[in-house]
Parts: sequence; structure tokens; C-alpha cells
Amino acid sequence: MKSPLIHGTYGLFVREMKKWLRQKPQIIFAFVIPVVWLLLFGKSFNLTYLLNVPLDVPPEVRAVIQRAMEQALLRVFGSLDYFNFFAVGMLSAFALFTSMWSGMSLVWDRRLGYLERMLAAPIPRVSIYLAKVLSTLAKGLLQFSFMLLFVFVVGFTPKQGITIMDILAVYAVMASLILALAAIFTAIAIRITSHDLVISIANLVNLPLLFTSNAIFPLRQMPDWLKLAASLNPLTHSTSLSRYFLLGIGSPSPLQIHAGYMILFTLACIAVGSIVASRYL
Amino acid sequence: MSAVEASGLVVVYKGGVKALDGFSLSVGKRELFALVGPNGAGKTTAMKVFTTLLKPTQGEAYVAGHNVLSEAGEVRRIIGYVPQNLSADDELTGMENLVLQGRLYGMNSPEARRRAKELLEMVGLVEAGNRVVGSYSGGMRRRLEIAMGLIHTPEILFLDEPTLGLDVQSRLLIWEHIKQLKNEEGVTIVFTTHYMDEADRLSERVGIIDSGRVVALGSPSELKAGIGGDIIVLKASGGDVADALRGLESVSRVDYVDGEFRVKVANGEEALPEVVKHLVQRGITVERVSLTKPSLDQVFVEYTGKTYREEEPPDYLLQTYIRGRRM
Repeated sequence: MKSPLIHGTYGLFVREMKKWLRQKPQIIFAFVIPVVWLLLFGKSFNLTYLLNVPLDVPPEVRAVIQRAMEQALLRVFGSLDYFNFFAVGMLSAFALFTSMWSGMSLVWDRRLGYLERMLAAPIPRVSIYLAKVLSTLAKGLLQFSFMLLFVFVVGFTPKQGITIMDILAVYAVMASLILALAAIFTAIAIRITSHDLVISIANLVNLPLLFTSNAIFPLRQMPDWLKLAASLNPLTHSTSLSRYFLLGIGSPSPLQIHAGYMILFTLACIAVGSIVASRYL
Repeated sequence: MSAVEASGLVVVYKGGVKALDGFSLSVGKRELFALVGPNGAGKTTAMKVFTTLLKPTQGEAYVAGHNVLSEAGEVRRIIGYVPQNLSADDELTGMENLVLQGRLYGMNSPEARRRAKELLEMVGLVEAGNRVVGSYSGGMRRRLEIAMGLIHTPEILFLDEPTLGLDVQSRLLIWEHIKQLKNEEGVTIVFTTHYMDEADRLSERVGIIDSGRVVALGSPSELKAGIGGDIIVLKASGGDVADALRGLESVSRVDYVDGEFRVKVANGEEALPEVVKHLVQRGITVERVSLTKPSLDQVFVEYTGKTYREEEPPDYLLQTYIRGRRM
């Protein structure tokens, strides 16, 4: 490996991972927090129960209404169990929750002087940046793998005839989303010297980004202005793709739009981030 | 070709603080060179220019013949840098820090590991090598930092205040390492310090820096000899001291610095009684008198007209200290 870009990025990537793996509580939290969301939020909202037709309705009418309700549910959520719909949305939400902190270690490195050490070494600036982005990708994908296993354990029912290709496709979608978000949040931190600011930015963007996507509620029932915002949000596209692969909701034609958006968005984020890093780091 | 060459460096920080102001310097190959001066004189700023971490506003600097701006990559490959702040990763072990540092300089894993072992031995950290750096003492960390600066066998090593905040024993140990490096590995070493005695005892050549400029350059003995004798420091009142002493043959110069007269004489021991007698005879009261042999402190006074006080912390530190005590 004679390229300074590669050995620089690789060396610093290994550093990030070693530090992360050494912090046991941090890893435990990375796995416990999604469990809390999935179980407490996902399981507490039982759509099927809410839409149950009361028992005092005459049985013939009741059966018809019930069927109509179920069809409505299936059309919107792709499943009679809201948990299925929500769980897939949470996969993208946690990609956001994890990558929005990717700038933090850069701020710490600046504070503790390690950044200066890296800058004095004969490696391109961009390798410092890429190491941070790639380590967030690794952490994010580990967390995602855990979540995927966990949702099946607590009763996730995928579409019929799901294959390993579908699972791999969701991995690709998540990798793309995490890369894009990590690229943005790391680039933002390049000139930041206070970790309070990183926390403020994360707090500012996490819920708006979550609620302007279809991670929790379906797009179709949103007002038009919110739909517009959602259509620009990468979380919407990654969630739509994941729901198609895991639950079979959505049709193939907007799928290409979603996939195209994800690929272009991710490439653009990394390109812009890399330019910013090599110029301003 | 010299190891480090700087001419007319000016560095102006945001907010208009001029850290370097016409800084020029030349360090020869295989030299052990000290950049010495008070806090805020511009030592660290100069180091940052040489290590390509800071772009000078004006002027040029060359390291081993490479321009620090246009050939920054070359410069980074050749130099080792030990920053003033302890900046090894405290969540990694000493060994891991060294190996990672080696990887950043393009060494492969076994190569970096071998060199890391060698260096841990050299700085006496073999036992501690597998412990996380967070558990090290200040002296151990400083030794590790030096080892990290040496991992890729640099031609030139820049050490910014390598003994800052260390106790006397650790300081002596660091001195030993620095001397050993210079003698056994033939590395050019440029270090900064605000201890004049450290520069005097350790370095072969010294650049004395004040207000962003090198005011004196030479070997410690040359610089001290340049003072041209000993100095009698005295406090006196009741007459014109300078005028009174002008008539004495043994006195070559009289300066008035910070409320004291500094009387330069060829031989202090012989001249002292004569000077005092002379003043008393002219009705001048001598309140206090002391004799100082030439030292770099004296050289500093000679070139800047200011006394050198290294013990006194800068005002802002003193104030935070006082504020801290009140709480």
C-alpha cells in the first residue's frame, strides 16, 4: 500500500474502530436505544386494535366494515401490524441518529491536539475526513445488522417470498444513507471547535429530518407542503426502498427514482465533503 | 544546504496579532538548535510554519531545501514533530499510538511494529507500551510523544517545549534522550524552550527570540562571550550613577534596566569593590549589589533591553489562578 490516501485512511479508520470497540458502554447504548424505540414506540401503537369495529355492530355489517378497514390498512401500511411499517422506518431513523454524531470525534481531535498530529503527517487531508466517514459507516451497519435481527425476533413479518437479495439490497440502501449523512455531518464539523455546537446541530436536525420523512407516518396522508419536504429528504427515499424490499410496499417505477436519488445524493455529499475537507481542514 | 532556513517570516493571526515579525533563521544540518524566548515571543508559531501547519503571511521558509508552502508534502515526509500539547491518543496504548503514527508515514505493519519496539526501549517505556496512554504520567507521555516523532526516522525533529511542566528528574531524562538522538542517530534537532538555562546547557546553537523576531543567534558560549564580561547589578540613589562610573577604567558600559543599574566589567570579582568604593566616595548610597556571570538571561537583556523572567507566569494565567482560588 504505497498510496498515502489509502494507508492514511486505513490507519485512521482502524484507530476510530479500536477506540469505539474499547468503549463498552457506548456499544451497549448503540444496541439498547434502538430496542427501546422499536419495542416501546413500535409496539405501543396498535392500529389493528384502534380500527376494530365495535362488537355491538350487527355481525354482517361488522364483517364488511372490518374487511374494508383491513384493506385500507394494507394499502397504506402494507401490513395489518403497524410495527412492521414502523420497524423499517426506524432502520433509516437510526442511520440518522448514529451518523449525526460523526463530526464529534473530529471536534475532539481538534481539541486534544491529535488533529494537528494528523495534519503534520504526509497524508492527504481528505484521508482524515474519509476515515471518520467510513468508521461511521462501519458502526452504522453494525447497528443496522443488530436491529434487523432484533425486529425479526420480536415478530416482524416480511413480505412473502423475501430472498437474500432483498436483504442485501436493504444493506446497500442503508450503506448509502449512512455514507451520505456521515459525509454531511463530518463536513459540518470541519471548522467547528466546540462540541456544544455539534450537540446543538444534532438536536436541531434530528426530529425535523425524521418527521419530514415517511419513517413514522406514510407519505400519502401528508399535506402537500410536507410531501414536498419529504421528497427532498434522503430518509424518505431510503425508507421507501427498504419498505419495498422488506415489506413489498410500493411499485417499481418510483423505486427507480428513489434509488437514483439515493445514489446521486450520496455521491454529491461525499464529493462536496471531500472538497471541503481538503480545502479547509 | 541548511536544515532549516527562514527569511523575513511574518505571521499575522486573525484579529491582527502579529506573532512573527521579520523572523529569520538558519539551522545547519545535524545541529542541536534551541529557539528560546519568553512566552508569546512566537516560538510555537515559528514551529508551526516549519512543520507546514501554518501558512506565513509573508516571507519564506525552507526545510531541508524544500519550501514549506509549495513542497509541504516533501517537508512532512522528512520531519518529525512533537507538539507542545500532549496529543497522543489516550484511549490507545503506547504501542498502538506508535504503530498508527508509523502507518501514517507509510510504513507497513511489521516495519512499524519493529521500529515501535526499538523506540519504546529507547525511551524506557517497554513495560508501559501495552497500557493505555491515559494511565501514563506526564513524563512518560512526553517520552512517548518524542518516540512518536521519531517513528519514521526523520532527518529533522522539531520539539516544541519538550520539557514543559515536567519535574527536574523528568526534564533531565528528556535532555538525555535529546542528546542521545543527536549523537547516535545524527538527527537535526530544533527545540523551543522558555528556560534559558536549558537552552544554554543542551543546545549547540541558540536563537533568542523576542516579539516575533530572532534577536541573537549563535552558540551559547559565543553569545555569552559577546557580552564582554561580567555584570554588576546594583541599586543606588543620591547621585548620577552612570556619570560617576564613566570615569572608571574597568567599567565598559552602564545600563539602567527596570530600576537597576547594570554595570558591565571585564572581571567582576576585581571590579566590584572598586565600583562600590567609587560610588560611595561620590556620596551615592549603594542599596544593594550583586554580581552576575554571563548567562543567556544576560544576553537577552543585552539585546532586548528587558529583563528575562521565566518564573513569572503570564498575567492571564495568574488571573485565572486567583479567580480559581476565590471560588
